Amino acid sequence: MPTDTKRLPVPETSICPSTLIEDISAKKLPLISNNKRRDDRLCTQLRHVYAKLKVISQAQGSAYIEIGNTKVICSVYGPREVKKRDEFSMDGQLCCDFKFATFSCPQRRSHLSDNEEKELSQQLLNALSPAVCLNKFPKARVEIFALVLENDGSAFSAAINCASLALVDASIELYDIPVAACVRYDGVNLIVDPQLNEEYSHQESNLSEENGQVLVAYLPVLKQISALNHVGCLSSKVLNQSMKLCIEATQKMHTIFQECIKEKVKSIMD
Amino acid sequence: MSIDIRLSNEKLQHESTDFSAERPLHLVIPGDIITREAGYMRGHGTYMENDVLYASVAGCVEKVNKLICVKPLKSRYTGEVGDVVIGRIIEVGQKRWRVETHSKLDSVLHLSSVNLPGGELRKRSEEDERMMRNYLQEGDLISAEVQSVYADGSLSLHTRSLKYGKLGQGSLLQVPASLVRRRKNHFHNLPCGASVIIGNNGYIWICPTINEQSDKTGGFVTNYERVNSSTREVIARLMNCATALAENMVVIYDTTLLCAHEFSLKYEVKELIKPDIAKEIALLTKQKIHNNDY
Repeated sequence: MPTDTKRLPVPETSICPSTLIEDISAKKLPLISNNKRRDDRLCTQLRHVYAKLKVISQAQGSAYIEIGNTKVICSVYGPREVKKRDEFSMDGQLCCDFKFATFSCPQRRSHLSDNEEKELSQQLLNALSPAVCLNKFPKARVEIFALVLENDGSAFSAAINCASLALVDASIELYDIPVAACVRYDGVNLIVDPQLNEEYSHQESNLSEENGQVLVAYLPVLKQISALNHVGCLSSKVLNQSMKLCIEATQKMHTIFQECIKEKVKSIMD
Repeated sequence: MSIDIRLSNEKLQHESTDFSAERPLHLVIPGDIITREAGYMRGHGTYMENDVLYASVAGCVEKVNKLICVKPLKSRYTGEVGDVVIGRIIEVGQKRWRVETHSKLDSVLHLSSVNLPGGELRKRSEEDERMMRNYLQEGDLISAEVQSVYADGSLSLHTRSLKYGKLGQGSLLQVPASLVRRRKNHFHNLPCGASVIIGNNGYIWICPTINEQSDKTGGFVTNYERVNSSTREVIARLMNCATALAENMVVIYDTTLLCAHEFSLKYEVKELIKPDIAKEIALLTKQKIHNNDY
């Protein structure tokens, strides 16, 4: 890791002791017992959502979202003129940066983007760009920065939701508000909005059985899917089912966000 | 040192002064359907799909005859020919300056659209090109007028009048561009002892009173005389008033600014930044404007 004099010198790798204990206990617990999940939710129940617009004064638009314990903050800058002439295009550009804060996960993340974050930045771009009217700001660029403050599962779908709220706050013209949701399949049950100890991971996956996770970013008004992310191994039937569940969940989220935005607009207009 | 703390529930409860109550606002968010009826014209902030008009920004719907627009809460400035703007030079280039005007793209000020000493019709020589930085350099503030709007939405400015040009001593304030009302004149010598330039791009310049005859030099001679403290206080008060109006979404033009200044006189300048006092001034101004129906 390169040395950075402005940062506290912390160990390069660290493991939270509680994760070791929890892992042992959590692995024994089944994902579902008595129709209840580990946090007493039903299979298709979402966690509580809190969303707030306009949290960073310097940014053109910003939003903060909490889904259960997962916390994401997102800021949008621009449209600003593109300086590099070789990137010339008559359409506007979108530029996404997705980052886990160093303290967001049980295991400390690097302050530089790792491969996973670079990959997710690209996916964030893919999920958002179909919804943005890029022809409205030619030669200019909008920059979106999503920062996960705490990761308790479904952090990436929270980041998509947060980014679209921030785009609305920045008054960037959108065809629709992209909303994302996550579904996990553990071989028996489909569970919506998994938290960290319910998420799919490569270590615990048993290759012999169906196991995986699906993320869908959906444009509820246009009724289009803007991004689909699938990890693990799922049959087409289960994939179909889980996508349907995802879309149902996004529609619930969409009504929450609609309310949130309308309230904000109202409070400013009065 | 004493610290002034106010709790939000101790705020004065102003009686609801909702002037919009007579005509309820039609609020929309991106993707909302504005109308399914055909025959409407598509304005800013909307898009059409399958003969249905959708909103593409969050804001309130404005209908002028057959034209439907959505006015967003805040947006970057979109210029119109003839607008007065205030901008900052960010680059000196070949025969032109690049100017930041809070627009989506940077604006340009061509060497041919500035007044150079020695008459209107003087030919621009290479000498002038070399002297460009002596006239305006990076970081300088200018007032200018929009000469034309290019196809991509970027603006071409001109300062071919002695009232435009480089700005000397004063304070710059940024407010949402949508709050600035278009008027015949954007240069005001206020009776309270200061001059303001209310740029259409949301930049407001407050400076000591400009003398009509001697000070309009197009910015070639900048006055660096010491500004006395009473003038500074007026400038600071006007700044705080304008901020108060902007925070409470009151339209800004010379009349509202003067009203706010009048109402603010019972407070000290530094008190004006307190949210409840700022709100009170904004509400009083709103009421007065509404009653007089300017």
